[in-house]
Amino acid sequence: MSPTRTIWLFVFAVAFLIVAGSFTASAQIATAEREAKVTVRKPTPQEVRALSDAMAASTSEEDQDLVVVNHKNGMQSVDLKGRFQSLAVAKKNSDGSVAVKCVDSAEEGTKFLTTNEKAPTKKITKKTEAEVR
Amino acid sequence: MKAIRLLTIALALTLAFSIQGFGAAEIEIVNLNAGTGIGFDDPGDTVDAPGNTGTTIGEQRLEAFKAAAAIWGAALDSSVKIRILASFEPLACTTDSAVLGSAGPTTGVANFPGAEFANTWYPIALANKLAGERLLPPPQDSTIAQATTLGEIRARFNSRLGEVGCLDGEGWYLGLDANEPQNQTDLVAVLLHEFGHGLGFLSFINKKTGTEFKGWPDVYSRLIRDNWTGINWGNTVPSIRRRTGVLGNIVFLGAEVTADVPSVLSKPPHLRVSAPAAVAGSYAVGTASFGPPISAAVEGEVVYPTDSTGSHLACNAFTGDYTDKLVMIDRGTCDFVVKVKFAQDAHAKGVIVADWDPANVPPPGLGGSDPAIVIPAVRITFAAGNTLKAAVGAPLVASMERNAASPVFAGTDTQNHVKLYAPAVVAPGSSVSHYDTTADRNLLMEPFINSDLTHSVQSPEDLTLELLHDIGW
Repeated sequence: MSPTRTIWLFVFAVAFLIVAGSFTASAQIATAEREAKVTVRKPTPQEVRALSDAMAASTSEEDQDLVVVNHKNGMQSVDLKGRFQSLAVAKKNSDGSVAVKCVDSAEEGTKFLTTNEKAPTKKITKKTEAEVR
Repeated sequence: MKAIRLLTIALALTLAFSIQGFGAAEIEIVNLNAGTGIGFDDPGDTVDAPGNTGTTIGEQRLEAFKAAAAIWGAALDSSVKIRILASFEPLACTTDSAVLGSAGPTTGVANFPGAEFANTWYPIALANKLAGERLLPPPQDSTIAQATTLGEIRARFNSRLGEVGCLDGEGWYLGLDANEPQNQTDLVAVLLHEFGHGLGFLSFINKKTGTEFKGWPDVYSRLIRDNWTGINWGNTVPSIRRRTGVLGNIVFLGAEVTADVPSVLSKPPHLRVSAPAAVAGSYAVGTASFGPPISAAVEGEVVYPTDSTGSHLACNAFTGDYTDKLVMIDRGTCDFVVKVKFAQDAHAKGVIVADWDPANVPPPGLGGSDPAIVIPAVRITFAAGNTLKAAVGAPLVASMERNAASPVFAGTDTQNHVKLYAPAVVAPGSSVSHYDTTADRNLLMEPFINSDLTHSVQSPEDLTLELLHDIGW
């Protein structure tokens, strides 16, 4: 084997080791990231508006246009028209679990879905978002 | 007109399922999806769902509804049937969030025969029970305006969950065993919670303005007390209700709930330092979502070792052996579960994580999940960490345990009244229709629906039925 060819083989070998090492390190980092987190994005402003609108009607506590019906026996009744509902909403946590919260206003629901709102952990509370680091 | 037609068809074809156990209460699920091919009527393939005998995805959803209704039916006592107008339908979603569903009473009534309090609003299902009759029978010619007289509770849940664009891949768990995987949501647990609101676990008071519904209190809010003033919400003014509703100082006064607190809730956890005398005392802790809960005392000498890289962060393995020690480590750089696992591998009996953020007072919990962790872990504040680090080697001896000397249970005031959820920093509209998140154990009617709920609605696992009894059930 000529000296020139030997040098080229050496250069290729070194280059291969550097590239392979780099790939291995990248793979390790990628694996660690896959194990630690999943990709989660916040809703876009348009999505937030759509979610908020959807929550607003059913959680409304406005009573001004609701009608009190007086019955013969002295009873009053009010058709709530689908208001005063409690609403369960869910979002993905950064650790891949799903957080579930019941809200009774659009503001509370929007806040939960768009911020890192946390609740205290107590026992096995996978559905409760808490800092993991 | 379309809505009227759909309702008429649904009612005509109603597949009504009545659940009644031991003469307790009969609950009828009125299937508003009947004949539509969607929701409960969806002929799609079944999913893995232990205990659920449905032969289509629609039937499996309905079986979950029936299971939740059966639990409430067995717990309640009423001679009047409770009708739940139920549907599965597309609700708002994004790829990472979704409206799961909603439920609530269809009607409020007052001054009916059998009402305990005059000029007080009751949810219609409770009013029917107290009156011993159906107070609002359905009219012969149904219209939309009259539709809600057809049932006492309306429940609407999301059929898109788990599909692309709707909390992708994170669907409903339709099993009946309360054993859902981490990435699914237990439908029965959510239904039990939302049905609880429909049965009366809710306030009709407008939380934005503090004003009463149509000028009268509701039966739930009559039992709320403002601990700032000692005045019941039923006897106070809107400004006080609005203030206390967002300042986290309201409790539920019901006698049955209060009496059952000791059998359901625990004393709060703490870190009790017994030596050296200079730092002895009780330190607040945040508990972990992984590993065993703090129950029996776990006591030992506290050490503050470095890992194999010379760091107190414990993001790498320890080289020493810490058998029977409580290992204190610093928060930061890697996940809590990583740190605790390294300490466990070094034979620690417990882990104390010292916070780096002085603002975290009281200390929050430790999030994460790793079923391989079998030792308890807690978080202490930055200040407490500095105090204890200075005492390491004295020796420093501590115990992770329940604080038996605490005058309160986790989630109550000093009179065992359970706190209601009204967080200190929140937008107007904060809920008072839930138990507070400081309750420990986790309760069904906390705002966060936790994965350790058992599907029980009563003592010794829960306090929801007790509250419903207190308002008249």
